[in-house]
Amino acid sequence: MPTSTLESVTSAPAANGSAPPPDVSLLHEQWLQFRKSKSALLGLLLIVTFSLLALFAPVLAPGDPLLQHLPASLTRPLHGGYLLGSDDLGRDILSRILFGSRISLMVGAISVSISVVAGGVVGLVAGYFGGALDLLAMRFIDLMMAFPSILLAIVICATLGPSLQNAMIAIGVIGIPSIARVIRASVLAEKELDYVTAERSLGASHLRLIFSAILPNCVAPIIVQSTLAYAGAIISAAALSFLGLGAQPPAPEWGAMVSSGKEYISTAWWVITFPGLAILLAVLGFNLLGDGLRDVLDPRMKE
Amino acid sequence: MDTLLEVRQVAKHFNLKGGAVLKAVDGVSFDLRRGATLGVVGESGCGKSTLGKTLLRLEEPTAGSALLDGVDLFGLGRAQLKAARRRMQMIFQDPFSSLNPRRSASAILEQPLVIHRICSGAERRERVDHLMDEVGLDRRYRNRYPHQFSGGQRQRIGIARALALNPELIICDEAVSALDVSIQAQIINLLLDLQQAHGLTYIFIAHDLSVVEFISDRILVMYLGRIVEDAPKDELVAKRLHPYTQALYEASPILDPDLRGKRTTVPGDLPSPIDPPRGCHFHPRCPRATDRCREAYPERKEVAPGHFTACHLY
Amino acid sequence: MTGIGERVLSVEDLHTYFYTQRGIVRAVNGVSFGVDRSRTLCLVGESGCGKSVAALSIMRLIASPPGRIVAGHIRFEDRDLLALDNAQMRSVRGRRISMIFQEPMTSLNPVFRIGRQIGEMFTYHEGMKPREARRRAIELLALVGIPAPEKRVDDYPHQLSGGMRQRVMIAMALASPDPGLLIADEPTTALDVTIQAQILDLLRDLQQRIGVSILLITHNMGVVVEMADEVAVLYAGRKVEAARTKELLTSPCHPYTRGLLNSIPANPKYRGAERLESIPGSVPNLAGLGDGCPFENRCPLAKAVCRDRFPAEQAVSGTHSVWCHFADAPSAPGR
Repeated sequence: MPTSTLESVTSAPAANGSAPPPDVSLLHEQWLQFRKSKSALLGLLLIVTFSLLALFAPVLAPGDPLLQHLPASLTRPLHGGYLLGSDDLGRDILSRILFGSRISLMVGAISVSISVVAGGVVGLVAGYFGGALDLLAMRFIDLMMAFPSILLAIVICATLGPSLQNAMIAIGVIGIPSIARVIRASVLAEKELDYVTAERSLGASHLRLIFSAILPNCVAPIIVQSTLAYAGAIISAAALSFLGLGAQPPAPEWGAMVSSGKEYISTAWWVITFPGLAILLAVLGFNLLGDGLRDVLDPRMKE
Repeated sequence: MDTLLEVRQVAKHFNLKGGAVLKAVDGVSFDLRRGATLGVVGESGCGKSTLGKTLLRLEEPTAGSALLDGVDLFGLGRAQLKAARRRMQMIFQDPFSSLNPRRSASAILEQPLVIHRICSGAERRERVDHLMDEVGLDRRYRNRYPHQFSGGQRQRIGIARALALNPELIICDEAVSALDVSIQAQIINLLLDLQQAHGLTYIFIAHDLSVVEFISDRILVMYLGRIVEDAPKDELVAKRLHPYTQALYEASPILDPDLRGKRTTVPGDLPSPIDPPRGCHFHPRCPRATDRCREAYPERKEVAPGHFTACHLY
Repeated sequence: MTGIGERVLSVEDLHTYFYTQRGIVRAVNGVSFGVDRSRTLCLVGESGCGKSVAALSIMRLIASPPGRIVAGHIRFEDRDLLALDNAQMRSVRGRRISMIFQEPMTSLNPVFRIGRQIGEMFTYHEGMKPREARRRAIELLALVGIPAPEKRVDDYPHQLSGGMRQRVMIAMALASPDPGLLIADEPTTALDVTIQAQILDLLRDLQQRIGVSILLITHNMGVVVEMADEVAVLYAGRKVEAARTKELLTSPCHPYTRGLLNSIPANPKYRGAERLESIPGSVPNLAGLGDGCPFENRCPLAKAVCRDRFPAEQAVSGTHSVWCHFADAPSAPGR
């Protein structure tokens, strides 16, 4: 049954042998699409900004984030040389936020990597091989999802001992189920398509089929899910630090800063507000980016 | 007669939830001469596509044997199967889903060579260019992605991919069904030209009887997993014996307006292969069904030289 | 009320364009055709010829943006459909003009029983009570040849086969008391060939009994031969030939029509042939098509004038017209 979509007759090259239009890879076309969404660009801007701040923190920070100066504790913003004020131990909040961005971004990167690698393997294997493996993997995933994720993270962190490393592991683990599910769904859909059957008929091995044929076509949902997971990771890290389970003092982690600032909320509002804003903006950035990517990548996939 | 493929009693059953069995292919046998085209025609659920996939072991057969030059394809281990795959390839129906959207045309065509470790980098590129020439694609398009080609061009890429390993047998699974009529004609001509040039043997699977009758040397008509009639093309065109073959013919497009409204339409729906009717599968819809047809499945008999049918009327 | 043979639908110089990133796509580029009472007109053509867009334009179902009916008139029983407001058009749709599509599964709501869906036509348009609507639904199911309609009326769409669902669609399309026009967009393309024959028989039969006029859109010449009283051949948004069915088959004038007929393996000239005569090349990119003949890049008769302007209508007979600069050139292929 011939398809009669407009798409097929507006993208076909000229039939009369004139010079073909330049090769446009899918990636380039997607970038052009992405550029159109203002919110996506805003998200990208926020992420890039935070990344640069994190990278150049030692250069940009006016002071040492760990240096205490008790006489100057709880100084208001724009006083005494403190742009964003100082906390209860006299440490410069701006410097702490800048260095804190390093921690947050790193925590996000490592925990999302753990989620993607572990979840990816689970999802790929379950989706591709099906049968008993799939059943087992999915029931295990269901088990994990039955817990509120932050509770699970708390349990893992408390068991392993409170530290930033363990927080990263915990956050990575709680991110596995959603990534595994997304990848599995993607693999199940792609696996049935003719091009996979074609590569099978050419004699491709299972490994080649999974990594060379199917995986590149599942990248889109993985990217979207990872970006959103990054946002969740930052919040989870902050939450764990808030509870004293993640970054340990004196580390300038945003969540820990919020935690230590909560008792001064009425007397020195800036101690809790600025770290809170930082969390807000970073998470917002990742969410907007993720949504923008989803709009670009997913409808394309349907074509 | 130089027989390339001997197929005996091939069956493919799917076990469904709840214990039911879907007999997609239920005892198919035929001989395929080297260089010939075997047409397999039938409607949904007749098993023709499953047959093609089973022969290539893209579905694991439930029973039967398929001897390619004397070697049983169904008994091969993984390594031997991979080697055997070089001799038989498939062209798929849907030009949109049969090409990996993330690979350029040249990458798609290089895949077979990479998988079987044939040729080095530069040789591969040359081979890809040569393949594109053979199927009528402009070489300059080699770095384009599937979404930038038209349906007919994508199908040409699929054909080039099937040719890359120099196979002897190509199974065309509804290879032209999803194309516009004018493009269909181009692709049919291309397949015929390539057959001549390379001495290819085709199994041409389609639901359109007129296309099958044009391109085949020998034709199998399938219904619910079994062959109901098989004969050389000229024989079949002259005498369509089985009532189902006649029904297919009567329902196929004709270009004679005087015949409008005068062709017999067979009533009823296609039965499900999960629960085929007792006796002859076609009897509920057959205009000439007798009591015997309701009871027993007819034996396959040779009614004329080379012309077989499974029907109680003969 | 128009009598048999009188024009029921008249599409005049329709232009429907799509404004896309890649340029303006003139999906329907000045096409005119008409359907007579109790007769069938087939719009035939391949991908991108504009036949489906033309049908959707009549029903005013073009997604806008990016599409727009830019010019033309669509007269249905003395009313210009393009001049109606949304409420008036809604009362026409489903009552006087109905449409059935290629994929019956996506046209039927999977969570409602078919009796209810057919009944909706009556309860919505005529304010009928549900019990009466159900009775009428059963009658309609019988009319379209569904066996045991009293039982099937409570089925869900997924319980029916493709052919059955298409029959249900036809029943819904004919639910109104006086269906004037049925637009069928590739109604049998997704069906098996023996089922296709049944559906076409049904449509012909219904036309005889109820007198409905049919605008049938297809790419399949066999369907045209089976169903059409008149045919219009479309290519890349233009009409290139129009005639009575028999005339078109025995003396096609446009090189595209000839090429199309030549591309069909069922064509009797291919008895014992080794190759098909095919049209080279493919449909041009619709975005940014010029004012010339769109078939020019594939046409064996093309000359410079073909690129410059689209040909004017040439009458071959009272009922047969062609749009080609060289329609009666002696070396034309395919005769």
